[in-house]
Amino acid sequence: MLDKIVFGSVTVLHLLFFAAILITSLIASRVTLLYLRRNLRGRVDEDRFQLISKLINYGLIGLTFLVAMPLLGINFGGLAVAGGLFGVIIGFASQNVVSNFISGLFVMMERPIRIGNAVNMGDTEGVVEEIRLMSTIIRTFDGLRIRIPNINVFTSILVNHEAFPIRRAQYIIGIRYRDDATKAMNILRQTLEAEAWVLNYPEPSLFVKELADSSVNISVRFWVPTSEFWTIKFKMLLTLKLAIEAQGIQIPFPQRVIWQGDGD
Amino acid sequence: MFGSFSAPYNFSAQGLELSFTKTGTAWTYRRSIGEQVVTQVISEEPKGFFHPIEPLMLPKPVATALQIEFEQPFTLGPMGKAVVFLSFPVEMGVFLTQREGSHMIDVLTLAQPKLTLYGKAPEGILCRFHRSPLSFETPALDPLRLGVLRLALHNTEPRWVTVTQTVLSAQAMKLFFNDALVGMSATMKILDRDKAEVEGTVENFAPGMTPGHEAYPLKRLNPLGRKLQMEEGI
Repeated sequence: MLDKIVFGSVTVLHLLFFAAILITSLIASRVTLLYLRRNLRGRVDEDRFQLISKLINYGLIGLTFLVAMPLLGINFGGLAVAGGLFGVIIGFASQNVVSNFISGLFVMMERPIRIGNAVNMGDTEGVVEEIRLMSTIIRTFDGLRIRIPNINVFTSILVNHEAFPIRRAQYIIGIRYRDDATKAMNILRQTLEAEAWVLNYPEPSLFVKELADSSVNISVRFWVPTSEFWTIKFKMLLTLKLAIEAQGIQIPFPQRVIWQGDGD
Repeated sequence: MFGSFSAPYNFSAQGLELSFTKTGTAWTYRRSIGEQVVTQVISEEPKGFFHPIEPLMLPKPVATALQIEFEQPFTLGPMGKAVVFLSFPVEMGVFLTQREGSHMIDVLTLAQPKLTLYGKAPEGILCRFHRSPLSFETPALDPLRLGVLRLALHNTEPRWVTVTQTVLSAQAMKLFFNDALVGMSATMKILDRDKAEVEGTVENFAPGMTPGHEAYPLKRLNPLGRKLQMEEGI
């Protein structure tokens, strides 16, 4: 029964061996990944862990095929002769697949982005969810899941909003000409100093930027941890507005003084 | 003050109030500092401890180090050694005990948290910031607000150096406490006019003090290590 030939010189026994090797390899791959996850959890970054686990997974499966294919009568030595022509055909056909794969490897090695980073990639803006070998998954801020081929990730202009631990926020706050600009800047500075998230260093920078048509424009710049950038940027704009208004300083409406001549 | 508790529990000092009270079959944890109130319902009779923890947890544990700026610069002689005492902000954790380890239910402080960057923007080390006077003996401080850092300075250079700050990584912080004091120790080896190596000391701050519980969650991942290299100025 086991010696029965299925095709060529391949018997049922060969097929069973092949299946057993394949299943053992898949189980070994799963167990290795589980073991790694348990032991590396919390010790290495998630994206680095994913790179390691993918390399192990695909490596083991590839190795298994190399070992097991001769059981099915497929000799890689023989394939090598035909492989040249076959490779050219496959090469042309799978150009995009290969370029995405190679780009994926470079993205994983170069690490311009990490899982969890907020990024801009072309017209796409969102948080990196997964970096795969062929593509990168982005979750946009309005809740869409976008798959970007890695060739695009590798070749397009990529803005990583979380590459550094801190970011600078900036506002222009206009006050009336009759208000004391020095006093306004002191109030703004004290309000920034009282906020825990506004960094002590680099120091906040405040200066009169422009004597505009309707207001004296004060530039306010300060640094905050990247993880809290948007929360603090939005919060401080309101806090600063309330702080100067509490001291009688107002943000003026656009205005124009019209002089009516006496006909001369 | 610091130490173990079992319910019912009440603690009140300097505007800080902590309590565990029974509400029906459950328990309620209540903490207030001024107008800020935190409450939690706990299913079982709580037992635990109230300890000073690494001052890096508030407003959120994003800082990986503590930067202490000296109120007065300290100039140290060639190859000189000195021990100085600085203050640091105290943060406190409320922990419930369990079969293995503990579970932190609250972090609080009476100090005003402030963050800063050590190094050049936008890179550098995100730190909790504190400004401290310099003294040469253990200062008497309110342990609910300020702890004492004993810093052993060692100038390895054959020239005078001026020290204006020190930066301590999360791993370097090993806190000890008693009723009157929260303390930790570190060494700062000055390698150059603007470079130093700061390392935490695990030995007890003073005989008989209790070690504080370590709460900083990213200790294992913190790339700074126990020895922090200050390469952007001292």
